[in-house]
Amino acid sequence: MGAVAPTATDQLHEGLRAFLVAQYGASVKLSGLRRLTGGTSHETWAFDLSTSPHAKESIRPLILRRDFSDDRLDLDLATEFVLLQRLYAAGVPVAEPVFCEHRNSPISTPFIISERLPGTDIRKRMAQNKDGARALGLSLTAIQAGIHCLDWRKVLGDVLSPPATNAAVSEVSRWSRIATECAREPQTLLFAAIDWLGAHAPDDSPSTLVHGDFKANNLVFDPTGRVAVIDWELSHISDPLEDLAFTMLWTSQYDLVGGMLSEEDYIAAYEHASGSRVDRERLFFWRLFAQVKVAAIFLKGLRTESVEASIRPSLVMLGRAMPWIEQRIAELLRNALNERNAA
Amino acid sequence: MSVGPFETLASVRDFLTRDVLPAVPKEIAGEVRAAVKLLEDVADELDWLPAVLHAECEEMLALRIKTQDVIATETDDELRRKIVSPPGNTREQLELHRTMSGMVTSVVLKLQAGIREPSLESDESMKWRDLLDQHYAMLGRHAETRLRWQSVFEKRSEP
Repeated sequence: MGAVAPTATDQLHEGLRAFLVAQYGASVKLSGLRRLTGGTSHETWAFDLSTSPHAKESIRPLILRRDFSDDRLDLDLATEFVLLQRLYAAGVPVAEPVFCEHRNSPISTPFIISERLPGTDIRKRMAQNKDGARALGLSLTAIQAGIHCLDWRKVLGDVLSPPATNAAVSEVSRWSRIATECAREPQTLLFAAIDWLGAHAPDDSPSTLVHGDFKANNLVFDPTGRVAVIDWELSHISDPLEDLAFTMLWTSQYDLVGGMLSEEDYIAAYEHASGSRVDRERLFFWRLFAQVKVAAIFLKGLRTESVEASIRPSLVMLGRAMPWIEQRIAELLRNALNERNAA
Repeated sequence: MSVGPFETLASVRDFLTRDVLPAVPKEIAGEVRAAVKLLEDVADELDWLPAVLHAECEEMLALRIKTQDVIATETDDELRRKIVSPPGNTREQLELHRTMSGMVTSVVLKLQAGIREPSLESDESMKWRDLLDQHYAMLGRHAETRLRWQSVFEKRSEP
């Protein structure tokens, strides 16, 4: 994920048009192709599709998402597409998936095309309605709880597999391996956190669908207020508290926690919406784990698998933010130590 | 005098901002802005780094000496000498810091494993926990210092 192969807009336009002609016929019209900002592991492009050039109402706003490379952190694109189809059909708020091409991509890497909500992101929505932040926070927390309450065995049993061992052991092992492989120097606090997690994994926890990256910039809105949860590539079956802990990492004025709700209000809202109590000790474990996971993501961005491509400056910026994670790990480890001392 | 390092970095930033940024496609503009920000952060880091590395190595050495009573740790004289009189070259200072960090990692992992041992006597356990807490606190401070040199999260004003 560290490297990006340059994509000229014209080349992409040509390849995408060929793909769409194969689906809809020669009268198909593709317009307004433009790259959207953001994304550490994939590019996102917006475009409008018309299958009948004479009828304005047939124009459909769409999004194309393509990976920079096949070096994904989690779900492969084809699996993610089926997951999105099932979630959409089950009424989970996701953008409608339209196409997936992962074998014979005319644009050099696999891609997904999905509905584009003609709306806004959470920052703009909060700026438009500052008084509504708490209500928005409660409704987003209810969406997250709804994802966890989904009967995943029924809806996704043939798409996602539960972890072979317990979720905590499995997730710690996966992300610790990535973090350790990608670490460039002695990352003392990161290694200390990995060691702590290995020794304190909870014995049992419920298994639910978790989004894996449920945060403000993965939520989009249309003008009617409809919300869609995007970027499901890190979704998997695990302890729902893993998801809460990852959401709690991000605490800017635009985030669910810190921006819309306080930590305690967020947990209370989740307990209310899910009907289950949040075990604080287990949540602590996942909060430390969240630091290791985000460290692994940042550090992996600094590795390029290709000699032909450079590491993008935006990924170097993320790598340089490691001290932010280390500082939080130090706080959490001190809390764990001092609580046990007091006990 | 030739152009100084900070002036050089500033002129590269200026060139990227004024001439390159308006000329690149929109999809690359974000990366150019990130590159400008990185040059700014690195200029500030280079300004403070030698003093920070020296202070941190001294602190790591002092804590290592304190830990000797609990865990058998050795620090050779050559390393001590280098820490007291650090190399003038920043790359060598970074290498020295890396060596010390590696030693601290090993001590922290030993202390963590030690306090999990049920056989550790209660007063010994308190001593180990206290040392571990001091290590976490020190490393947390070192991380905090570096928050100034990144632009993803809120910065800190002074190292």
